[in-house]
Amino acid sequence: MLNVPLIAHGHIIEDPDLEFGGRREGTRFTTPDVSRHLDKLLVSSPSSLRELYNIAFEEILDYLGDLGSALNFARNTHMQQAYEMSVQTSGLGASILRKLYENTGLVYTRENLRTIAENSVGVEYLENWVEEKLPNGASYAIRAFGARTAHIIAGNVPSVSALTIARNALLRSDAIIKTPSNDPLTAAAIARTMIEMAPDHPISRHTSVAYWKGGDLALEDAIYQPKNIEKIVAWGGFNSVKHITRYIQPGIDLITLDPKLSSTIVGKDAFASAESLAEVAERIANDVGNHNQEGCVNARVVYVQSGTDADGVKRLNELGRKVFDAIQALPPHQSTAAVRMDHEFVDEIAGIKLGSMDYNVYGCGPEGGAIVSQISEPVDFSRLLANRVCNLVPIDDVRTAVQSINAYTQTIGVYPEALKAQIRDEMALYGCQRVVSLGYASNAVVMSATGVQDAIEPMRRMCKWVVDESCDPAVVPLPSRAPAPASAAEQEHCARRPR
Amino acid sequence: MSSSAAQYDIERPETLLDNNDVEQIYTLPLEQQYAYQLAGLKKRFAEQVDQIAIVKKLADEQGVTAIERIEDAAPLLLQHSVYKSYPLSIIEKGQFGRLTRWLDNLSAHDLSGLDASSCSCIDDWIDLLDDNTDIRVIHSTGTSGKLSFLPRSVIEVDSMVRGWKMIFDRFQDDPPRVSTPVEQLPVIYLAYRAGAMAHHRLLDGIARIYYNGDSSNIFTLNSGRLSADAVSLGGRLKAAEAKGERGMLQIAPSLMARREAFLKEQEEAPRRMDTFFDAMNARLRGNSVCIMGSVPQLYDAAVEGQKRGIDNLFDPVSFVMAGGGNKGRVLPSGWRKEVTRFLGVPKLDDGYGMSEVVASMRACPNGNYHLFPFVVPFVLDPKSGAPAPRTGTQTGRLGVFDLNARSYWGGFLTGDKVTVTFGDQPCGCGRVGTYVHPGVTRFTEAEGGDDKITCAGAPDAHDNAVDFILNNSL
Repeated sequence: MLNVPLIAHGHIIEDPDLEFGGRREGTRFTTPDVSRHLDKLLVSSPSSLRELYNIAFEEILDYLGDLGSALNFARNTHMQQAYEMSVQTSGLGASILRKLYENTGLVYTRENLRTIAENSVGVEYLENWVEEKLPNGASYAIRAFGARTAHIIAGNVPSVSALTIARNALLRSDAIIKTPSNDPLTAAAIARTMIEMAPDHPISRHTSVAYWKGGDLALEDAIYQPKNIEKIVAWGGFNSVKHITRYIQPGIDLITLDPKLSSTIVGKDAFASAESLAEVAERIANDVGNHNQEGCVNARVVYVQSGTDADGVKRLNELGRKVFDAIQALPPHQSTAAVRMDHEFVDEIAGIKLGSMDYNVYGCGPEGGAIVSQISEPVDFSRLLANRVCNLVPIDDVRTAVQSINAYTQTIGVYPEALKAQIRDEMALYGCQRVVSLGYASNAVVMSATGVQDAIEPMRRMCKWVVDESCDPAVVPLPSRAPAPASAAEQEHCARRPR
Repeated sequence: MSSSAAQYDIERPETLLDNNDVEQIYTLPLEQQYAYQLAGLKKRFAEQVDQIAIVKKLADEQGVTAIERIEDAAPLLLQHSVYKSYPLSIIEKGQFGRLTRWLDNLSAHDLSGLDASSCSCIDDWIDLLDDNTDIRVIHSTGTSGKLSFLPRSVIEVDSMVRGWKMIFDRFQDDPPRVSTPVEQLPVIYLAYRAGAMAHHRLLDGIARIYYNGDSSNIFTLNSGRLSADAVSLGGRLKAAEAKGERGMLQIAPSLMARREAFLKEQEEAPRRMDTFFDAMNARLRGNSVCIMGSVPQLYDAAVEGQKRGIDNLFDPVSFVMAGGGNKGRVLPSGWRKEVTRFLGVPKLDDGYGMSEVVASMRACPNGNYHLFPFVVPFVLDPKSGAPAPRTGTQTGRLGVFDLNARSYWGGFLTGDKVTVTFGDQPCGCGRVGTYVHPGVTRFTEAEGGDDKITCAGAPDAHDNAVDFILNNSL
């Protein structure tokens, strides 16, 4: 049986103490009992991060660049093993996974990392105290420090592991990465490569990776303590994020990469010509089908301003057929037929196919497809939409679609481009986080270069921002010598002092 | 007890259940069982393919024009999801005319003339059907708040009552399950007296057929009605909570208008519990009874009973019909003992049934659940849907065709993963025919879903909904 090592601050521990099951049958693995190695895993002294400050930003980039080369899929047996395991556990087809593993090193290219750091935090804030002067003569300096952080990562794509490790290094932080059962190995494979490449390098020693069953209260209580951890970055579903909140207390910051859903708004211009309709179908297929609709960025419900009368619905059915065809035409390194089907989803499709006249179903087996609502509403099971199945919903007015946006919305793909500028303010007020040109929802290059990841700015929040304020009594009088009365801001400051 | 041969009309499949006791039914020779099943499937298909729109659609889609062998019916099993394939917004917007048209496709009854414009909620709509048609809809608990509606009719409710009575028939030297004739047997149901879930329809039928319309021999924890609207809202609340969307739920004004009634009922709950236990203690102590409820309901009753110092309440020869699993509740490991001590019965019988089939099965002495010949089983490959050979022992997804269904389509694809031994390899207990092995699991369990109509568990959802309504005054 496959053994998943525990990587604890430079130590590789391989005792197969405990056995766990992956999310699919036949995907069991062993791993060390983390509770026996807490002394190695936890960093209780904050000053242990000091060694990371002896390295310059450019040296961090050198290190990560070397790591990118060392992760070369053709040579790196750890990554090959992680790939083999993912083929068993992932919802992605082998052809997609292979491409993802082959491209893991691209995350670590110098140019990419510099852009990420610059756009998310600003390299100068990572490197130095950045000084500013105020009009009253006072000055202050701000710097972004690393933090001891637990990352509870998602397993839907291996790049989550690669990105987490890169962010941790760029921010000079200490990471304990808790891996999920649907990808227990990728993060460990990268961390192991780091130790083999540079065993004594501070970045290698500040990247730990562990698997334990999420919800192991005794173990998690020991780990998620303010003396060990300053921040928790939680990816994943509602239940797992909700579970983590029990550990939040003064002294621990929570950064959630919440469960989100994405959708699409298509304006009436789609029907301007046969060419535009074909283009829109292909764009929708990209947003729906990329990486088998496993991500939160993938479109599920697609609102189309086709009109809701008989002619409008007829137009929409035609688009539905074209979307089905376009999904079938996606290349295999991008998208494949379903690896497995969820029983509940299959039953729901069968139910509406037979029992309802309100929905037309094009395909929707393992090959994916489109459900076209004949009424102006999504299917009741829209949250289950998966395996490259989308739901086209006819609308008369784009406002109907905008009003469907809520706090659980992540990305909205919009067509045509001009419509995006018209509705983005309104969409933002309803809760949309990221607006993209239709077809580019999964564009990782742009998404990571902005550094803001669906606009929640995780990297900025992963830093400990520290401010140093300087006042010369000759220029800025001491408070006791300042003219009364106290300003509202000062009163508020007094009220917030610790008791 | 009769040991004569079963009497039935092969052209009227329901007569096997109507005319015979359990021994006659279970000793029908295998060849005759198979001939009866094939004739029944042919008959039901021929008469319903033009009467029920969905059967026609399914048959066209599957390319089935006639039934020549039992296997030919395997592609004609309906997923349970068909019975909830209406858009939920129909109910939120009160479009009960559309709901009626949807139901019309699932029933042999003609509903085209039924005017549902006066209905403002699901309960109204159920009443409209009850008052103006033979349809007696059975709704589910709808774990996500979307109720399924199975359009059963009075004739099939009669079959349910027959199926219930058969529980007390003795097969060969089975010990008796109750010591009182059915006509005098007190029935206890640990939930609401009225409503439109399977148990409520059964209780109504029992009162009508065995008690001359008198309900005084039926003892329930709550004499009121389980509101389908409240069950639906409760499910939607639970689903919204699980998704973190509770704050976004809209409550229909028609439901808010019933706030006062719900409040009154909630206030009376503690008194009702006392009344119920007083009645059981005073009127039924030492009696042979039939008790129906879900496992958590039985456990809760035992806890309440013990608080009142009540134990060994009934004649040990009483029948406990505990259905539907634990409903997601985690019960203490000793729950069975607490329940049996409270009731005073030696053990809880194991049974297997589903609301889609009119009669449930009790375990035989070997622990197997023998299918009645009027329930035609199919074992299907869970992925491809291909039927397994109808011989020997087979494992897969269970499909059933209930030949007693006359006004709706009797073919159902369950979500149950079963091991079945077909009639060519007898169990050895004396019953002839096909049986299901113990240890049935659900395909959806691992995925956290639940698509089967279950017969209990709704009161939790009901209470949850009522709390919500009371806390959200307009």
